[in-house]
Amino acid sequence: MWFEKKISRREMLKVFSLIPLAGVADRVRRRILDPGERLPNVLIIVFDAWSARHLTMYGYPRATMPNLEKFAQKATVFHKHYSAATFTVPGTASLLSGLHPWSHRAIALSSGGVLDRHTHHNILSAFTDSHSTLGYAQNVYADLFLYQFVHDLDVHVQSGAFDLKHRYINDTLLFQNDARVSFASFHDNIFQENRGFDASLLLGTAFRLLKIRERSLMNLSYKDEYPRGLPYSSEQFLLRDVVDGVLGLLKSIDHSTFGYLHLFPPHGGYAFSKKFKHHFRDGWSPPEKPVHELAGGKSVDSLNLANEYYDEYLANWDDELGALFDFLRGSGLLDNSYLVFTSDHGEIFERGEAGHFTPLIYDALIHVPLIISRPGQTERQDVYSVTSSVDVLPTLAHVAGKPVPDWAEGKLLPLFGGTEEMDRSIFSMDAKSNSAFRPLNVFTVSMTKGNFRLTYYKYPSFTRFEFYNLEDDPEELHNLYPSQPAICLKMRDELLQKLSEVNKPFEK
Amino acid sequence: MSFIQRHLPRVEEILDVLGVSVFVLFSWSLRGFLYNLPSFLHSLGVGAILGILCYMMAFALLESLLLVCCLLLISIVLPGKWYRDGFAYKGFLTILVISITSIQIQSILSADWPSKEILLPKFGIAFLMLVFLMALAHILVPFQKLLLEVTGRLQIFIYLYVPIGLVGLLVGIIRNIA
Repeated sequence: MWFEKKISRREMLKVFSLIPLAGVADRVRRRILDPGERLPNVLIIVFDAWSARHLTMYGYPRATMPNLEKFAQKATVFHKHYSAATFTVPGTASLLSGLHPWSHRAIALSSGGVLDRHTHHNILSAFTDSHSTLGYAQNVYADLFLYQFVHDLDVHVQSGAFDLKHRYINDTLLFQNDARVSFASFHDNIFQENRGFDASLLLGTAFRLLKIRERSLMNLSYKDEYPRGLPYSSEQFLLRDVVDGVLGLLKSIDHSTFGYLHLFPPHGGYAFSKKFKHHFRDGWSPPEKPVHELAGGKSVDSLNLANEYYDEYLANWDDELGALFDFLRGSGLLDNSYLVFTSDHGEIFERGEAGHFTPLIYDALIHVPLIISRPGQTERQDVYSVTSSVDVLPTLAHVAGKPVPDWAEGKLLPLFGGTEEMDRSIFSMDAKSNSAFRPLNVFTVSMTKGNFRLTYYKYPSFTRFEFYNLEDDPEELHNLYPSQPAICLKMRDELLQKLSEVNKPFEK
Repeated sequence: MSFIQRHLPRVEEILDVLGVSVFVLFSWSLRGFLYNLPSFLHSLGVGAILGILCYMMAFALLESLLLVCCLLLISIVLPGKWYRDGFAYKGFLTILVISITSIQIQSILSADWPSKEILLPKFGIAFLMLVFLMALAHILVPFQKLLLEVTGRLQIFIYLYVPIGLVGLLVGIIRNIA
């Protein structure tokens, strides 16, 4: 392409990093309206598919993210934080809307967003009157929510802004007013992403051949640096470019800003650089667990290898993040910002399943990091009570001095206005095969309460309850449901009651 | 200009080929829509689903026109006897062969680049098959007549699919300027 010859990719990133300046006019307007004190920035940085079970500070034996853990020494670490869902669409929707999947109903991969009645129920809306709002989601499925909430967004950085190529049709100017429907039309439909038939018979084939060919050539040209191929979301990218891009965005913050930055790593396929190849070939392997009936049937060896790749990718990602943490420490941004690191869901390598697109719910899939740095925080604080991703929205609204929206389903986080509730019920679910408009009938839902977890699998050919004592059995190896302890029955009744309650609005 | 006019097939033959083109591409697009419809119904409202259908039909229309334009270009570039004469049945055979090849290729595509051993024979067989069928139609008049009969009958789809594609295009434009 002509511009590729004239402007390097790195220069392009610098240009993209200036995009937030487009919001300057709006900020100036707010300054005139509210010339008073500068409010703290509120920044959420999401790492996609980031399981807490792979971090030393949560008990993992491998030191996968030393830079992050160093940062956490001056932040508040939540030790039992759970995502409300197990993959990007519902997980991100819960994080952004403060609603459980059974309410927002963005429960399938092809979901066009949250239900229309929740369009204005989002974290950005809580900040629009006082902050500039900035959104960037590298994962196209998370970016759909930024398109849905775009009326509350001052600056929407395009999903592929920091990728090596950017050719999302729905991201073009042509479709800016209808990005979500055009995305559903083109992505995995007119043009297929992986296996399957394109709805476009000829151009679909040509475009896919071209894209695969380019990807292969790109992998080949970076083979020395990335032996397993380049990191890939919907397009290839370099980890350092993503960090550079985010740094550019953070550097442009000059007034009270709410930012949601959803970065693709460490989401699969774990394409680490050469430096981290065999970084964790240390002979250690996670405990072997029984294969689940609903799992993909992967062998123990392949799961352990994928687990190792994930750890090596995490270490690579953390290494690149070093520049981000250096900037945060040196720029003074932390002195006037609430900075949140968390994830939309976890990742699993056990019981015959690898990844996260699965009906299974175990700790690795829902236990995600939550690290919050408050302005000027100098000492680490730890929270050990159970918390949920739906708590992030009300908490951030509260710390910014705003009323907690009445539609939010979460609670204030401990140490941020809330109290430690050891026996609170936290729900996580997967219902990707269920209609978004009907009562939940095909799903997996788990309820974590104190040290106990009850999981309910409800499928046409498979129905089962599992009950674990997480204190005695953190690996969830001994299903106590058959012996029906009293607490288990009590939790089952509570769960069934909850399901009946949340299904009511969808019953005709 | 006169060179192009001299090398262009008759309008009737172009319409024959357009009929084949819209029939094949719109039908394939509708197949894709129906395949995904259960998933759409699970998670999208009626308005969004109709929006998707409009985009798909608009895209199929543009793809059909592009295909016919490509065939016309071939007709202009190649010597008249090779492609312009008998444009209707030659265009029909070309669309048939590349469609079948395209379906075959789509069925084997994944995230990785297919090996030359897989891809090249498909293109080779497609080319040979096209040459063979064209030669057969040239020699065997009944076969040629059969092909022309089919292309003539497929012309009806111009009146069905082209308006649908235009409506899709219009809806797509309205959705993006509203």
